[in-house]
Amino acid sequence: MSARRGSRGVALAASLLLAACGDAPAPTAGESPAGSAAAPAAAPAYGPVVDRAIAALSDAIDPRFEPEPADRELVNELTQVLANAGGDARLRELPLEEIRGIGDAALRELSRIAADPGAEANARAAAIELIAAVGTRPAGLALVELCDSRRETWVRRHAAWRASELPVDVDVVVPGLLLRLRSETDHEAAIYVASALARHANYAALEMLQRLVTTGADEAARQRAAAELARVVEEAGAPDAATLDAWWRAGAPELPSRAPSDHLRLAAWQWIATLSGDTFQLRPVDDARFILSRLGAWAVAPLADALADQDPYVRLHAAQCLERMGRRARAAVPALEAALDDPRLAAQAARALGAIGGPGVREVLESAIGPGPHERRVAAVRALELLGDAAAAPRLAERLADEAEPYDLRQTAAESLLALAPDDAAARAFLVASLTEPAADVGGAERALADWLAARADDASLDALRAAWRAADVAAGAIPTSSESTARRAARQRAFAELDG
Amino acid sequence: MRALRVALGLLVVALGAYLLLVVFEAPAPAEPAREFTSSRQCMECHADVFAEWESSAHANAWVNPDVRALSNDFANTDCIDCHAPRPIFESGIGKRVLPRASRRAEGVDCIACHLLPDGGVAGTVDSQRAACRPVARRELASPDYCGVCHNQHKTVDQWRESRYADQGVSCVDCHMPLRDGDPNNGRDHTCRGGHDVELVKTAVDLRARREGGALVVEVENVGAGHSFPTDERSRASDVFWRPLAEGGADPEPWRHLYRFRSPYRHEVGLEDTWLPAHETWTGRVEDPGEGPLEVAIFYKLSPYWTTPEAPDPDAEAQRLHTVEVRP
Repeated sequence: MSARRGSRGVALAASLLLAACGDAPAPTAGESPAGSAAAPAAAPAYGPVVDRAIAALSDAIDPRFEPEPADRELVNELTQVLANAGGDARLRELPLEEIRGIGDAALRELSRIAADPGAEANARAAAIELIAAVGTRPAGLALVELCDSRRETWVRRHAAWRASELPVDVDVVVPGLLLRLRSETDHEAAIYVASALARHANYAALEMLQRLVTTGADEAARQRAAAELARVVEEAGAPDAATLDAWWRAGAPELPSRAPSDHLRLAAWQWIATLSGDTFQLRPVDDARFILSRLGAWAVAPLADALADQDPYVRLHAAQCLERMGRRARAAVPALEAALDDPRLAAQAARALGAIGGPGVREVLESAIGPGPHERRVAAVRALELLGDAAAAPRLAERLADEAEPYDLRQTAAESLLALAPDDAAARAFLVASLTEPAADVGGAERALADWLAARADDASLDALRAAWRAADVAAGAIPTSSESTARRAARQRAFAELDG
Repeated sequence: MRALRVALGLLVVALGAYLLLVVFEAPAPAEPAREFTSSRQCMECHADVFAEWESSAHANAWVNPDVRALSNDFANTDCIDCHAPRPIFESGIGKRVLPRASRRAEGVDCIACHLLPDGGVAGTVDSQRAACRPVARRELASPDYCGVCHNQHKTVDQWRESRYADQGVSCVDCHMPLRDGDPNNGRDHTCRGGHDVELVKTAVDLRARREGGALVVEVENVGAGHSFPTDERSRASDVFWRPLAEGGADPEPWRHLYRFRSPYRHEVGLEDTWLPAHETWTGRVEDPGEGPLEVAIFYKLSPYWTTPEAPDPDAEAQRLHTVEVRP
């Protein structure tokens, strides 16, 4: 019997004796016994935030019953009339007027014609135009469906073009159009998608539009991109594309103000629900993140609310969306700061705070580096780099210098420090040593040093190092073997050693 | 006198209680778990297992040059979830894993698979003597456990549809066999799989013959408990043929016949051509010429060729099997 065990037995016997004599109250259920660790902090109040929001919005939206499909022959006839109308404005107006009267009841047949590869091309184009003429929310969704990658390129172009003419209150098309941005390979179709999004004050595709002005597939595509860009900028009331882009990224008040419809808000919540742990495959989750992080500033509030959902997957992915939104998500900072106390969310919350920034965020992140879960500490160190505030350098230098810290925390501190204070010799030396250190993230160290070198492209004193670094590059498109990668890093380490004498 | 008797009685009760406690005392509770900040902490006691793991694809999940290239240096953040996962027991078996922020260089490490949400360690036996005080958790060897990552691309579902599932042959039987076949020795943590070409060779059988004037080629999935190849869109296996070079002649370039692969979602128009377990694919070359022929099946971890119009499989892929077909 160990001494420790024996002394505890005596203590227990004594306490029993005292209890029998009535001198000490027995601990009650749920009470911490004397000498134990302090009671844990109260768990955050999580709840079915997403389910409640969806239920509330679903109740608020008028139930819409799918109408009985219209007479197929009539719809086909109208499609043929429009298809054969050529440039005759009066003849064209006839079927368009008629289809507006029929409304959603015509959509099923129109969608069938538009998607039918066996139908005449002019009939399919006419069907797409007629869907746009219906101009309702279901019509908008039908157009987005026709933009899908399975369709022929010209169908996608037509559908996206017509989607850009939908009434502004048909904003429920926004998530579907955003999703097109990730897989649309045709430049012309992408330009129309960008234009359709801008109609709903969503400028997520502005950057792509700017890029296509110079990199479009051909001269026609480049000119079309330039024309659409000019139109979008003018309609937004911005002086130029760069300013509009800056407004969008910051969620600036100068942006056209357009409150989302309940249908769009419901769609956003439904995409937030997709983030749930019930969704096993990452593809739909990634689609949801792609869409949600490209919505306007109005979407910050539901995403911030989702940080309190009972599903940890929803919480984490919502924080990822806010991170990707960047400055546009500034309204979520208080919710993210609170999330630093959620052990399963803290690391991602820290990253999001670093990407979003704002007054007081640096101090919050510096505090998160202090004693606490390792995940949160490392993430906070990285977040300070994302924040880009050089005032954090002294705290990072402290962590780097502390040899008692785990290696990955020190390496992350070195990487962040080198980004914020490029002249910090200790950070650079640590990363150079990390290139061949078994415990290191060698790839991360190499990337950080490459970034450091690239940022000093004008420094002639680094020419020799730069040349040696490039000499170790692998051929474009080739993937090196592990041993080749190891040799490359060793060569780069030697090049740095020569620089430092 | 009464007070003395009461005091003596209490003393006897106390001594009795003490003796009961000494005899029936529960095992000492575990020391508060230290926080694991690196799997290298496990190496202190498990050097052999650590060495096995260190040579595995799991250990290289973050640093492997292929994944760094194909994930655009993890700018594609989706990849992080499985390449640097938080502990599986934390997210739950059957659920997706979640990404971690720290010690990413360790990839899929000891902590990811063995750490319990309360800070304890999951193992194959309960032990209060070991420093980490492992708790036996049978789930560690279940297909659902591997599936938290490996079913992202339906590998475990493919296995469920195979005869191996009915026969009770599961993931660990092939990929983490018992060391020397002895349960007392634990399981091999090198986790051989798609990065081990010798194991990949056992997955398929290549056959070829002439039928009339045509060359008929068959590939049968004879050994994989799932589709071939599986798990990653980046993995591809290609069948090539060419006239057989004899008498010191230079071989002609390889001619592509078929590719086994599941495409990325942006690759519109490409079909999923994975070869399910137990199934055979048959291909034909109608007019291969009169002379002897050479047919080979290659395997690669990246689906792209440097020159797609004239791929060089000998340089950019690993050859699994070759057969010669003579007139």
